[in-house]
Amino acid sequence: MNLFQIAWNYVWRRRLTTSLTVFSVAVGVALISTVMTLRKEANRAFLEQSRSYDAIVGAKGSPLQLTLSTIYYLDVPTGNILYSDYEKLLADLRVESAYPLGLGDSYHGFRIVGTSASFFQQDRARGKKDQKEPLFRVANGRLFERDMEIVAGSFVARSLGLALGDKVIAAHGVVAAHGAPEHAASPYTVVGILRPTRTANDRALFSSLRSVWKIHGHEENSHEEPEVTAALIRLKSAAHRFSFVESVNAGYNAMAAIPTMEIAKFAARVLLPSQKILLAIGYLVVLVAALSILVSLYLATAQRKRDLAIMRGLGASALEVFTMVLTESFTISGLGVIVGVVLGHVASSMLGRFLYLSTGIITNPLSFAASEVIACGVVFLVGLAAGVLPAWEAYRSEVVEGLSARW
Amino acid sequence: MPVVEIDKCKVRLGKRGTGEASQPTFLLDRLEVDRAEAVALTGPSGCGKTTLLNLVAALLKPDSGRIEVAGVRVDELAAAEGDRFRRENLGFVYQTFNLLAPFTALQNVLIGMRFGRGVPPHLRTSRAVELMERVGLSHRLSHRPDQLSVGEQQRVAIARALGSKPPILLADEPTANLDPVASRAVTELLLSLWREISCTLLIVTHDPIIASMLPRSFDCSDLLRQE
Repeated sequence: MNLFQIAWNYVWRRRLTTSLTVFSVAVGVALISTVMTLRKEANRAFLEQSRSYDAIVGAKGSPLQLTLSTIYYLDVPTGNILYSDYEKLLADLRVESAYPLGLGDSYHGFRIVGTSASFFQQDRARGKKDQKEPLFRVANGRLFERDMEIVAGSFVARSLGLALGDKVIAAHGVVAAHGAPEHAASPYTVVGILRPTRTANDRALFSSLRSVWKIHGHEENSHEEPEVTAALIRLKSAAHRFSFVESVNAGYNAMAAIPTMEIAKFAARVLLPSQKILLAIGYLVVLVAALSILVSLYLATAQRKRDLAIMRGLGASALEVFTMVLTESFTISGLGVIVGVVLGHVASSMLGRFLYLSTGIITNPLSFAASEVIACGVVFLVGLAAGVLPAWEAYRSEVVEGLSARW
Repeated sequence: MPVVEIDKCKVRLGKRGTGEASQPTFLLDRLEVDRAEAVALTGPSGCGKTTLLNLVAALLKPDSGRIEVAGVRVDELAAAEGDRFRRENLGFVYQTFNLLAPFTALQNVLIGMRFGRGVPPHLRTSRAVELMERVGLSHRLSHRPDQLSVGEQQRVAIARALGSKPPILLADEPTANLDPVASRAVTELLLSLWREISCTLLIVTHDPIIASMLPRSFDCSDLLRQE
């Protein structure tokens, strides 16, 4: 029998106490693991999407609102800008591509996005120029070609059971509202279903801008100038970002926002503090768990003072006894960390589903943040350290005393 | 050539610095035990028999005098050296058996060998099984101490003590908790094993019948004095 087998026997003998202690460590680790995994994944997903565009041009208002409503389909749009302004943007020499968005209607809570065919030509978030990968791929059917044709995002299609040829009656307003007026006279026809993009686009339906204008009574020969909600801009060089934003803000009846900056500010102001609170709670739970390891091992060591003395009498060195007790805290905190990480990632998977349903952001529950690995290491060491005092007590106990006055 | 040699040994017992007026003092002028000898250390309870055994085992240090066991000056050993000395030279049999409750009889013997140093790891299990057969408990290998009779527990303790092939076996009142029949059987077992492996055997006992079964007795009646 080696020292680990002997230590495990003692751990197993008090399995109820051990399980409770392991569980308390696991709860703390699970909390930390969940927060860190979701933080990493949400940040990745949010930032990845925000990096897709150098700027967003929309009606004057809150830049964050403009960003959230156009890239993530989360907030209500700030208003509309003139289509002629959009055309001016297209003509700007600094602009590589500008994708128009016409928002205003929804279908069962999912936004209907009027856009151009070029919208579907865009690649995934830039940064890997040599590995360009199209963002959109059609899973079934085709992209819209004529008015009143619509293409459904993967999540929308799956959630609502949409199939090719289905009719979609748009409701006025970007959020689901009971009794909202419907455009029953102008139904869309589903002509295509997209593959998952792992972006908010999975939660939207896409049609042409002309369809959106048509449904809102804007005829082609009307004298009224058509509008778009916003334009997603990709510049030829990121170096033009600030000059572009400045010129839009000065020369247009519109506003330009840099999405990466808006999302970074949003993360710093809103997401980070709440994540910090959750992490602090996680570390507190771990601290309490470490104390419970200490108490449980201390009592267990006191209860088997005689056993330890017998082992010393059999020839075990003080260091071996120390190592054996420390092996127990190693086992308990190791099991706690392993169980906690598993629980944390199961929770991440469940909460990730919730995040996807509410924001369209897909998180990978199996992803490991470097900070999570470090935190687990710290928790493990704290748990191990909780065993040092009982181990030291065992180390310095007298053999004769442990065996009482007699052997 | 003596394997245990104690010369002018004095130990003040009780806690030092407590200011107690009267503290018992252990005094032993001379004791020699030869290699492969079996000696009964006899005397009434509290006369110092166990103190003598603790001194031989380097579990207690004398204030003065010289104790040499298996060629080692145990009175001069540091704590870690004492651990090593016990591991390499001694086997223990206790009055209360001192088996480890969470472990089976076989595991108790294996643990004895784990902490002792006489047997290579790959031979330990076969030796433990062999010893359990030798003490007549081959059918009790997977039983825990609380599933064994007191006599059986003491047999396991004997098997455990001999697992690492110690040159010296110390037994402190090994039959005190046993009925007369079991006492005699355990003593006979100890003596038969002693003859087989030719170790040095020191048995503490207050039972004159048990003492008479050993070739030599040493009377410890006058070792402890009040000073």
